[in-house]
Amino acid sequence: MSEVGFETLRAPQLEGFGNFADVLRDEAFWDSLGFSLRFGTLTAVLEVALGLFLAVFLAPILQRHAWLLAILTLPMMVAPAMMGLMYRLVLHEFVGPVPHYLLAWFGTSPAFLAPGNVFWTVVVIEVLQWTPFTLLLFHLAYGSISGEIREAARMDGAKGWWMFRRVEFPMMLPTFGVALAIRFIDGVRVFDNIYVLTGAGAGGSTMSLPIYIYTSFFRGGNIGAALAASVLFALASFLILALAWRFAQRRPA
Amino acid sequence: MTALRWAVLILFAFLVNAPVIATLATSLKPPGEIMGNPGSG
Repeated sequence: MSEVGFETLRAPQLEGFGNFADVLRDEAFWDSLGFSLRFGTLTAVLEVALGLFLAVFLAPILQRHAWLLAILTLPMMVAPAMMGLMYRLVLHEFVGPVPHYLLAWFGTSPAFLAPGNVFWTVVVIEVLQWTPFTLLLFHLAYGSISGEIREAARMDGAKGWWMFRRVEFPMMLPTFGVALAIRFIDGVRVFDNIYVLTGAGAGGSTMSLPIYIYTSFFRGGNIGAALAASVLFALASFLILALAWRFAQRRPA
Repeated sequence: MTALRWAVLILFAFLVNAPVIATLATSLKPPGEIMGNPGSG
């Protein structure tokens, strides 16, 4: 970095798509892209499913005691990097309370940050931190369904699961789509909590695309390749989002 | 059913706030004990 001067900006020598070709030939790029897509998809689906279930199941309590939402949404107030540090302490092999009590109660404790387990560990951490967000969205959507609509459905004989499946869920479908999209975007671009918790993980096992770009740029000094990867990431994100919103518009609200 | 709802709520609140609770518990320990064994107990 220190050898890059303004002369470079003044008289650039372009090499076309050479950096892009280098990135596309790099196996680590495809591994990190695969990790980001798997992580984003899995966490988005789990968070939305869990948030929807909890919002509906806990609705009778949360509508009467709204202050409980403050406790449930507390993890959202913690910066993701700080959350990574907290879990680093909580899951630490020698001093962490979770391995300590698992060992004391069951005589064994898994190595949460070992290569075989680390993917699921970071998935669970992300789900635990951000399910309160989807819970909050669904709680508001569920509460905003008009009582008259429910009453009319009841008069037609709707109740329980049928009421949810045919009346309430279709009315929450736009919220469902928005929650899924927001959580997918956040999952794909995940950086700070994973980087703080595991670095890139053993053998790059938790290297998301943003971590790949960061390490290429700052650790490897491959600035051109890192920026080419950033451009590819932006293009891929645009394509995925354009398809998602187009699909969402076709769905009846 | 109400009891089950409260149980799920408390379990969920505990799970999502576990690192916050662990941090709070550790912050109440004297420095010597934190250096010795920050997580357990």
